Amino acid sequence: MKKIFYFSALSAILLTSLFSSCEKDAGIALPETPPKLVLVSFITPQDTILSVTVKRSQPIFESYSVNTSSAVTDATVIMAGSSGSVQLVYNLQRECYEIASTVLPVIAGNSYTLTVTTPRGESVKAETTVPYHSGVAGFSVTMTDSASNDMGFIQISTDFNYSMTDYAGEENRYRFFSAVVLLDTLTNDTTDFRYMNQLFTDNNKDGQQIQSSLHGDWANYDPANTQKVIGYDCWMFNVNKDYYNYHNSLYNYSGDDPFSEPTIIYTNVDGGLGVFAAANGSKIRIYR
Amino acid sequence: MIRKNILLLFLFLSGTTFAQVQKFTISGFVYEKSSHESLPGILVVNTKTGAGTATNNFGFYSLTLPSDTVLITCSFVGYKTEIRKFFLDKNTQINFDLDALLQEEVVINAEQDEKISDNTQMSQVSIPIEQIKQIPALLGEKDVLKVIQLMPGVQSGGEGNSGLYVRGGGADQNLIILDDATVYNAYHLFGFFSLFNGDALKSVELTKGGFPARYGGRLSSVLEMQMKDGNQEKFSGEAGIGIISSRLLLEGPLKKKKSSFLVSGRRTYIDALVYPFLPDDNKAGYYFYDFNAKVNYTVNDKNRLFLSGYFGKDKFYANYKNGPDYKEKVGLNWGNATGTLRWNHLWSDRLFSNTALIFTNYKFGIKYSEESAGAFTSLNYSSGIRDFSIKHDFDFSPVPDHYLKFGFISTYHRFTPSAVVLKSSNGPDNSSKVKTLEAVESGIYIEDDWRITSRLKTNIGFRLSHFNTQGKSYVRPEPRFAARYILRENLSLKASYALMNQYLHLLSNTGIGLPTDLWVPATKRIKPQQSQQVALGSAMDIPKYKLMVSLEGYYKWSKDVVGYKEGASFLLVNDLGGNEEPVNWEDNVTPGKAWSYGFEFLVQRKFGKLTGWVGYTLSWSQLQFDSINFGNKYYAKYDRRHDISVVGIYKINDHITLSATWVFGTGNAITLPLAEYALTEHDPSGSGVQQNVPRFNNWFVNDYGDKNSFRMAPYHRMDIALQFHRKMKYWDRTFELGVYNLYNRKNPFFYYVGYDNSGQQRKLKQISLFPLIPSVSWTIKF
Repeated sequence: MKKIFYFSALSAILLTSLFSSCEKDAGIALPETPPKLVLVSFITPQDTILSVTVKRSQPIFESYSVNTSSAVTDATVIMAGSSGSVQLVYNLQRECYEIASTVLPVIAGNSYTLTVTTPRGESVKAETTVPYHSGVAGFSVTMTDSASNDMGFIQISTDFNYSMTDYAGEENRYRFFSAVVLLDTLTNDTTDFRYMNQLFTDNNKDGQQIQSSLHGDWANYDPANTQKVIGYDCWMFNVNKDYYNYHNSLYNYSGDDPFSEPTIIYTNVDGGLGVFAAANGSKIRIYR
Repeated sequence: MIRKNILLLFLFLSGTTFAQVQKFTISGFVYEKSSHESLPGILVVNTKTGAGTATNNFGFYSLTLPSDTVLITCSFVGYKTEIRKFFLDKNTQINFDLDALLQEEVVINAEQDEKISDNTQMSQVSIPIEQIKQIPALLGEKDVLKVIQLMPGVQSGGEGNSGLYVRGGGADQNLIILDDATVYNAYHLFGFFSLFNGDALKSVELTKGGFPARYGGRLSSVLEMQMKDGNQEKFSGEAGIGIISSRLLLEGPLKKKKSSFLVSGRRTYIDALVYPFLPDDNKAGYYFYDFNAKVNYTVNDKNRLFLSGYFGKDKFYANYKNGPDYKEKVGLNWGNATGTLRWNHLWSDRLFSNTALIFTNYKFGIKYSEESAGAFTSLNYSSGIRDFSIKHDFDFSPVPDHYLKFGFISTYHRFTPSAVVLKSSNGPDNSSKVKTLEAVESGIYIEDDWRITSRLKTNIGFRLSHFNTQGKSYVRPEPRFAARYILRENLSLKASYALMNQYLHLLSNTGIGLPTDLWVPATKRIKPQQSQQVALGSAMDIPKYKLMVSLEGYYKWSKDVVGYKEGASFLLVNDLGGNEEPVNWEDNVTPGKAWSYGFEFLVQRKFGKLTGWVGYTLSWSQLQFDSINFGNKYYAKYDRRHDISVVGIYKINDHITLSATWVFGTGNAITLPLAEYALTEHDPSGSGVQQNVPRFNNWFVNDYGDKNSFRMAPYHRMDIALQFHRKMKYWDRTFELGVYNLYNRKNPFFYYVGYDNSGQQRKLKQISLFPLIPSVSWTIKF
């Protein structure tokens, strides 16, 4: 009996040492990670303004946390297409480089390059091709919704049913996007608020009619009770591979977790991060 | 032509010799003398001509030879060789009772009985159970799967993990069979221990390539284990006490040489040790147990029956009370149950059959209940897989130089990916969602071990597999081929090819063998996985030093292997109680391709004063999935360029055995965050700024570089054990002192981003699991 007692005591001590897992600095050489330029630019033939945001990534192992004001304001941003090239100008308020699309029209089926250089000697480049179909065939949306304005909150609940026809004989990718159209009854201004979004491919549905239903709920703070939901803006984009891969990886992003595989964010920027992508779409506004 | 073949088959089956030279068959069983336990894999050879065979899983052999003077030797490592010389002029039955060698005899026995260079089969390892019991183990818990991991071509998933990664394959691609029954989840305690401690096992054999046609259903390996039948001669047993568990085995005759039984059990007692120290209102615990049982009955010379079973369970529980009105209970449990009824029948001296009815069940469950002031909520979640199989195998030795195996297996699978029962006193929420899937998997096979010349031997086989689920049928042929050519005595060249199909997929987004991992069938959308493997190698025996040396190169390519789309989750538990349908798992997986290739080198010494092996593997394994890493190829997490294992067991004298292992492996390929940055989506509405909430649609993301482009620090570790044996009055006692991770290497289990001591700068931190861990255990054998 005594032996068993000693044995149990010894076991308890050993088990304690076992389960006190050990944490320490990894103490291994990490790859050098100088900050990289991060470009984000989406172009569509429907745009009136071409815009590019330029930021820098921040190496993780030299800092405390992400620096949200890492916008690069002194870069030279050049976009070029078959009709020539233009330099975009920095807009301080919107924190991006811009130019009117009339200077460099975005034409379906054309390729564009984006080159960004900085006084630090950084230089990155990306290229993308605009889908050649203009808009999406047979795009239609129906909607039922309910809205309430209670305790200073506007709340809506919506069901969208959209339909479109895929372009047959080719690999296609699409994105449905919707926004709530809000009217300020004092100023009579309307504002769009991002609402619902769906990314999909024509996998197994080549040339067919594609239909989908989306349910959403949305709320907005309106203490003055001056805002009113008057309808919804809906877009259907035929998107290129860069556009699809980038958004798909962004929406699947799960952050850090030691037990799951991290999502790698798509980039087509040579020497940098981010994306230069193109889409071609149709827009429908539905009033409630 | 067909008629001729039928005639030949008829002549074979009737046992009639048809050639000019008269041929007769020597057949029988090989037993261990002291226990009358049948012995598998024992060589029975006519040493005059070199023609020979090995006993099957039931100890049966059949050797058809031309009429002549024969010199039959029956030999195996650790046993005295039996030799019979006689003139073969009629069909003869000889049963061998092999006597175990004493220690001194093992040392002086210069004969090398088992020759790796003679065997047609390549890419196969077998480890004597006694050796498994002598190899040092974590907390002294002897573990078959962890010993298998020490063989070249086999890797572990990580620190302490029992999962097997064979030649670049996943942990789900191994067919683990115990007495013909498939074991679906072979792990206890989240993979730190396996179900198999070796006490109740008779043999363990791992096939990594060149698969004979009798095996099918998995891509990467077959681990076949046979339970002991039970001592037919006398009542005996074994008992052991270790740090975390105790075990007991009892076996003996029910009727001498006619019938015997075996029961073996193991249970951990961490819960019992900790329980008294926990507060009354907050009790929690964990335990696992295993139970093996087997009985056999020899009906007559031609018929024998076996009934065997395994039952095991892991259970975690926590009970919380807050005052007299509030009670909360959480329980997690998972376990396997298998049962096999087998009937051996001897149709003739040349034809042996084994018919088996097999049941296997794996179930995982979560229970949660809450009681608060009279109101209650309870939730039960379970998932699992249950199989019923019928199997009929024949061993047939029709003529000299041919040994045929043929048969079929058919399995009815029933999958329960998720079953949820919710009960609540707060309204009509009582709900029950049970989803099941059913499938039938079958295989029919034939293989011929054909000795073409004294130097050239082949094993040519063919398997036709079939799978049917949800109205979709897959029928796939699987050719198999293996050949051995003897260059000179003790040196041979080997080659093999095998095509394998796997109709079951394991959904696991952790890869660490959690009980939540879910088996699902191939479907209309998700095709079966398929692999092809070629291997070339050379095997050499060096009798002078009792060494077996093998060098093999392999190339394996697979298609339709299953990967998990980035960001996908299979923890269906998330959907518990919700009204929405769980996400269809088929939407979360993506089919892909895999390639692995490499070289394996093994020097093994199975007998002598110093036994053990040195293994080295140089390998590459890559994956490619359409929906992962943007369709680009990448190195698998367990891609391991170098893997070394050294195992030594040294009998210092009759009373002391010293054993040690050292392992080294290139670090796992992982993806690490290097930098972070902010991104936006395309928002055509221009609503990038919401009132007072700037950039609400910004994503802060990590820059990981290329997928799996970073290597964890290399893994290495040394374990030692010292066993003291002593003969007592009623039993043999073994006392073992062991040390796991002798030089306290802090191997990384995983990395994460933490902060330095100042809390100002982020650092890459690692978590290690097991420091130096001493252990003691005490075993008696009677």
